[in-house]
Amino acid sequence: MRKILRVALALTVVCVVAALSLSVVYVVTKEKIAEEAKKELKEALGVVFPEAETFTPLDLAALGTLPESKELQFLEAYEAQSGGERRGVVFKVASTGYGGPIVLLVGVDTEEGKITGLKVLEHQETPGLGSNVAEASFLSQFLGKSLESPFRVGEDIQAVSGATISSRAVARACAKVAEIVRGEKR
Amino acid sequence: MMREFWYHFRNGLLGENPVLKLMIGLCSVLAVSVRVENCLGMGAAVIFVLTCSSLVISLIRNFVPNEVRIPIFIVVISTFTTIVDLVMKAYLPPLSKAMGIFIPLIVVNCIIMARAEAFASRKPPLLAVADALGMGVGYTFVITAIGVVRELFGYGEILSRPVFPRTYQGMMAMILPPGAFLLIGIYIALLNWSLRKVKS
Repeated sequence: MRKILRVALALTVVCVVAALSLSVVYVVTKEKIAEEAKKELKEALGVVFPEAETFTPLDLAALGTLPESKELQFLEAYEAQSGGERRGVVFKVASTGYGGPIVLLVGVDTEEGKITGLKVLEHQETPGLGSNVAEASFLSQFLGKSLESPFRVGEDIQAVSGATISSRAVARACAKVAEIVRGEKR
Repeated sequence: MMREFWYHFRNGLLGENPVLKLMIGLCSVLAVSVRVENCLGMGAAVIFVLTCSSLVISLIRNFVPNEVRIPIFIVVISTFTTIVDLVMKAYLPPLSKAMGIFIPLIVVNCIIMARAEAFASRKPPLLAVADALGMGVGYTFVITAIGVVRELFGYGEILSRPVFPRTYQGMMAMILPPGAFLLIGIYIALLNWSLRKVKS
């Protein structure tokens, strides 16, 4: 009986001390982590829509029925504004690639009907092959493309060599975003 | 005491190097050693977690009942790992992103568990720290040595700065895990060969 109490006491003491020290570190770093995440998002939004200064989050549900599928999910949307006027939208989408979902931002100029920029936020593609879809050398071919383009690999989009599936995932995300914006305009 | 300290510190560098001799903690070596920067970050994280947890485990070794020693070691190790994870996320976000899941996975890195069980829980704090520092530095040294070769031939860069001319294509095998396997094999062979030479 005494043995059991001794064991329980040791475990309790160690766990309480661990929990206390962790909560201190958590409180100290919490704000800084949230700040970093915010800064990172703002920077990324600036990259995909360089002409806008402010981005306001949009309610996805208010945009009507979005074409959801296993391969493509819409995560977030932002309205891009410049000088208080609406210039376009930025969508955060997850498109299934070779190693898992590729999360990317797609910026669309709704006035001129073209893609303003793309940025891959997260991916688990094969390093050295699929991971190249996050590079400017691949993404730059989408810049300024009209929303009427087919966005099809092999047609108007050139795939990264050895990474057709990853390239298709990015093209698919653009095609769906273009479809939504076109539908909204009509 | 000082001599003993150095003896245990040196032990982890060569004679019982965790990666090349004990062959533990290999997953993180394979996964993280693509770039030198990641290797140094991972090494620093492992040294920190290993040293802190060895020190604490050695300090509480007489208080910990034998039956629950493993759960207690894990609580101590995971506390320090979570601290590293949070601090890195707050102050070194790019590095923390590059290493992704491998920071939380330090908890199950066998080097730390093995040293806690085999050394820190039986020896006084000073020696436990010596052993932890030696093992940590030995780990960092090997992972960086692998990282230098992988980054140089895989990307043609060192610390993300180009070394080879722009036309360099990069060796795919070095970027993918097999490159790390091959290098670890070569290093083990070199170490064993040179140790044998020194002996004879």
